[in-house]
Amino acid sequence: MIRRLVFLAVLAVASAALLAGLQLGRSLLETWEDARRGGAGSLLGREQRRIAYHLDTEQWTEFPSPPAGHTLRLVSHGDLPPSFARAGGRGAYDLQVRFLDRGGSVLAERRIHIESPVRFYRPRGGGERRLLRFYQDRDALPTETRESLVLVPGSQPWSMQVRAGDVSPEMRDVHLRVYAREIVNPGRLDYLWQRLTQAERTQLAADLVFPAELLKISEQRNLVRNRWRPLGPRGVEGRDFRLTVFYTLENSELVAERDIPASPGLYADRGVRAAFRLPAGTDAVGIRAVPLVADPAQSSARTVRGLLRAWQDGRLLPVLQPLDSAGRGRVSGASLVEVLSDRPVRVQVDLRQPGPETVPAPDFRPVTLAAYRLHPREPVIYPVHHVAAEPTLLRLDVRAVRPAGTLLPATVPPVQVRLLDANDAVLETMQLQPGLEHSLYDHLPGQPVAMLSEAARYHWRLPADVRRVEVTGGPSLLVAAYNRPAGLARVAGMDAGGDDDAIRSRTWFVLRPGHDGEARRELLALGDRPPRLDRRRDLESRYLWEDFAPRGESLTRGLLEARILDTARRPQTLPVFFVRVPDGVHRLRLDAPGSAGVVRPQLLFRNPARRAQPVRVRVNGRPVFDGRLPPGQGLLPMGSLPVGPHRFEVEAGGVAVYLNHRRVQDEGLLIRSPERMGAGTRRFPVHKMAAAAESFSVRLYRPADAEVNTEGVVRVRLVGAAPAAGGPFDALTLPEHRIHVATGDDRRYPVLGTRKTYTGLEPVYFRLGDDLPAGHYELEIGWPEGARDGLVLVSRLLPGDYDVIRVLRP
Amino acid sequence: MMDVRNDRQGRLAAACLGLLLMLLAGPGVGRAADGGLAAHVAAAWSRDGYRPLTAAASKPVEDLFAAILAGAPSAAGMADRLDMELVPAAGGLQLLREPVSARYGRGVYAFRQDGDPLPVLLQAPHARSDRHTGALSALLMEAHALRALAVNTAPRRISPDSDLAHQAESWMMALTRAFARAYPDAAIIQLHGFAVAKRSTPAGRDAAYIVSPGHLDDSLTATGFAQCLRAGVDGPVRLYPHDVTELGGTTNSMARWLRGAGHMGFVHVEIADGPRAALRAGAAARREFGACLEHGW
Repeated sequence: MIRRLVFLAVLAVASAALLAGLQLGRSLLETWEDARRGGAGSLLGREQRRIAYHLDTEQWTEFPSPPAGHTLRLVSHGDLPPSFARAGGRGAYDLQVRFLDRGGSVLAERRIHIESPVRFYRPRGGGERRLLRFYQDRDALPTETRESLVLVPGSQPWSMQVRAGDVSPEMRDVHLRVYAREIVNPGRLDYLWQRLTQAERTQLAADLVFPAELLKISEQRNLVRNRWRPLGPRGVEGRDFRLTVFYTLENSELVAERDIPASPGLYADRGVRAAFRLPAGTDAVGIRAVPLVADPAQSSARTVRGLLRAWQDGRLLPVLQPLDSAGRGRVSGASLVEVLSDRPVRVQVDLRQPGPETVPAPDFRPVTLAAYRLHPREPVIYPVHHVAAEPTLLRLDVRAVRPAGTLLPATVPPVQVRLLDANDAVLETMQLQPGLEHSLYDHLPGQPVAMLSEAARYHWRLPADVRRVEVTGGPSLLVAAYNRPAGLARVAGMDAGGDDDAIRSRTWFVLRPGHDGEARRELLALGDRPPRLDRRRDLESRYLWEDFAPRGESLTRGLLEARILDTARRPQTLPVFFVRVPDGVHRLRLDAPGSAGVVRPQLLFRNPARRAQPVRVRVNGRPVFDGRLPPGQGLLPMGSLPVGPHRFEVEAGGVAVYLNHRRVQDEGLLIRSPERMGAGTRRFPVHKMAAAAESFSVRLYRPADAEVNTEGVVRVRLVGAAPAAGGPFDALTLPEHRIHVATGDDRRYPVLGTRKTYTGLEPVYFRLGDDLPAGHYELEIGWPEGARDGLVLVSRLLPGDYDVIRVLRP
Repeated sequence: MMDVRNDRQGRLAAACLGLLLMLLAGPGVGRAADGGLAAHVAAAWSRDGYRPLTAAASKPVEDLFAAILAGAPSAAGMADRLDMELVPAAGGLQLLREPVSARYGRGVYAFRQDGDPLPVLLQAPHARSDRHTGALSALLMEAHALRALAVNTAPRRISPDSDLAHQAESWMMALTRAFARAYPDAAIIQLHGFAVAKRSTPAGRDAAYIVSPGHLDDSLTATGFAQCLRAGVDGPVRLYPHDVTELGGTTNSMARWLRGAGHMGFVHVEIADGPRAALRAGAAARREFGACLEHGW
């Protein structure tokens, strides 16, 4: 009995030793294969030969499992047909993974979805497309590898089995390498670091900020502690598994195409426009749109049909300029230029500044933004950090991507968002249905270029218990996330175009997803944007502006602003919009904003002379005014008149006479009523009328002859408000805005009853979001020190047509 | 007076041309009482009001249009299932129309299937309220190698939903979607008419044509079309929003859908009363206009 036990023990030890030896042998073989460099026997020079294991869709490939709690790294790739891969096609497959115990019982199963393209590279200095990984013996290109970490589950796991599933039609084969985290004796860490070659050290330190030679001892130990050793499958090659041999190219001069900054110049095609701001002082700009064609020999035969739009200080210059047949054009006096083209082009720019020479333009490139491709099952995971248990503000931007030459679908797949706590318990699940519009200024670079939609934006105020956000959705959607502490003031400034979108984005911090997310990263090219066409005119004609009076004493001034208004569209402006009535006899119709049958029109006069001038006005044969009007500008009431046509006789000589209550779309004078500022801050009571987000504006005016520079920061603070937590919201109410205002334009605004004129600074805009319920609030507005002699106008902008003008008083 | 006479002559000429084409085409060709595509369009007018298309029902309609544009043999059966007639018409055209027994204002459509037609969809969504635009678009379709034509067949104001230029769903919208998907680089040119006396700006009162991309972003297609018209037609051609600030079609539902989906080929053309009548009556003027439909964008 004892002899039998001894025999069995010896047999067990011998078997274990044999198995360990076999495993060691396989590991050595792999190490040898991995380490083998192309030398005399290599056909490929600096390439390395690598092996992976082919995955079948039916038969499992079995790997020995390390003990429970250990981590395995699965590195997989697939094969795509060369033509499909070169056209930017992506392949997809699932890794079906299961762990078994020694008796063959399944301990755990997992399905990992993988989607990847073939990644092409180019030399840093330019040159032909290259592959870093390739085959010698098959007509296929390996896709970019994808890494998945798997935690070994259960008790006493014996093996891990893997096979491929849901392989997309284009994907020919799937291959896998498996690595186990190496458990290293702490005492050997320093020794192992010294044993590494310089290349191995560099590779290990690739993800760190500092190069390998500058690492601290503790960092070196950490790197060695986290080494991975390869695992080979069980069984016999040819029967239980198949080897795949591929080659990798070690060349630090090659850069992935998607990471190569766009070549000088901006991209444009039928669906994407190139827009760029010009440096101050640019006199003229020469533009050339160079066709991007696959065959350079054809380029001379390809003519470009294109168009230039040019902007100055937020206004579209009146002439659209076609490019000539060589794709050339020229614009003068513009601060922003936009190029439209009927085919893919690279836009080159030459600046002409005062002086004879042409100056090469700055290297115009689009801003790049990392966004992550969604998947219906595998989430993009964002960790959420809170400052001192304060809520964190989160913003998700969802964009759709599609091939060039196709249209954005009417509806895109919904997006699911899950909020989780520190224990991975789901706190809330929500479904978003983005309504998207094609973007004229953004695209996804690559070959071929893909089209993008504008972003649909969703906002949350996340309570402190939310520690993770998971996003899933269709693969045609991309997500980018941003966060910011809830109490942080929004700092923004208006650019020359009057559009602060780009600057507003800087008040949010880009959030990177967990490590799995990097494999789904896409680098988007976000172009410059021109302001919405004549944004001010658009705002004036499509929004109701409600002006607020401050708490305490209200001292308004009647400021005259020359405008073109459509009073038919906005009848509420009839009392404050005055249209010129020239000398002579006219039959003019008077209109009321609502259904009133009677109006009380006024005459506005402007006497540019230094002395009083005679003016005579009769309405329906009855004298309204007959006398001398002083220099400057003022109002003359005319009493009540019925709505309808009336006969006006005007004899005013050098005095300009204007009349309100005229339903026209014409040039005229708009009377605004800003408040005198004074020193320090003032509070403006505002009433948020609805649960939806509302937009507000602050406009500053300063005396035209002021010597003090009033440019600076306008502070807007919301007093006594508690925005709601949760989301998603269309817009968040930020506690404070600090907005830098710059000089607006050179226009002079006369003041009623005086000979004074003011100039306006750029208006600033901010929102009270849909996280703030309707109700009464106070805005505390502060302005630059030098602006105390100026005027301020606080308004609310409401979209739509309104019949009643409201001036809200406390 | 001159306009009226020209108008009569034009209509007579169009009717004669239509009759001649019908005779040449022989039996089996769908025909209206007085022949010609314009007559087909006129004959398709709905006397039974307008029945709106719901979003849920729009998919098979869009599929039908996609099948017709693809020349699929199954298109006739699909049309039949939707209670529409797909019949051949003179000049190598195919006509999709409502049967006399089911006139709900779904529109009348013509498709050029033979030859190598240009990727142009011509639309007249207010055929009768914008006087002459229905007949004019039919004459242009007959004389020029355009791919498709769409004309409304119910009064614009007969119901709150019957203004096809402002409906999110309609048969004309379904064709717009199917056409835009089939031809991403196409021109979709929509004809309207305006009364000079009703315009509120000097530039509007002075215009013979107001051309617009239907949004404020400009497009090569609309700009090119306006440029072509300036060189070929009589009267001032204004480009919205640069030369004129009204009648830009910016609330047009088809313009909005196309811009949102990334199709930049929409052109909204407003034609003043006089030039509209002249275009309908005068073959020479129509030729210039038609040349811009073919190659001016």
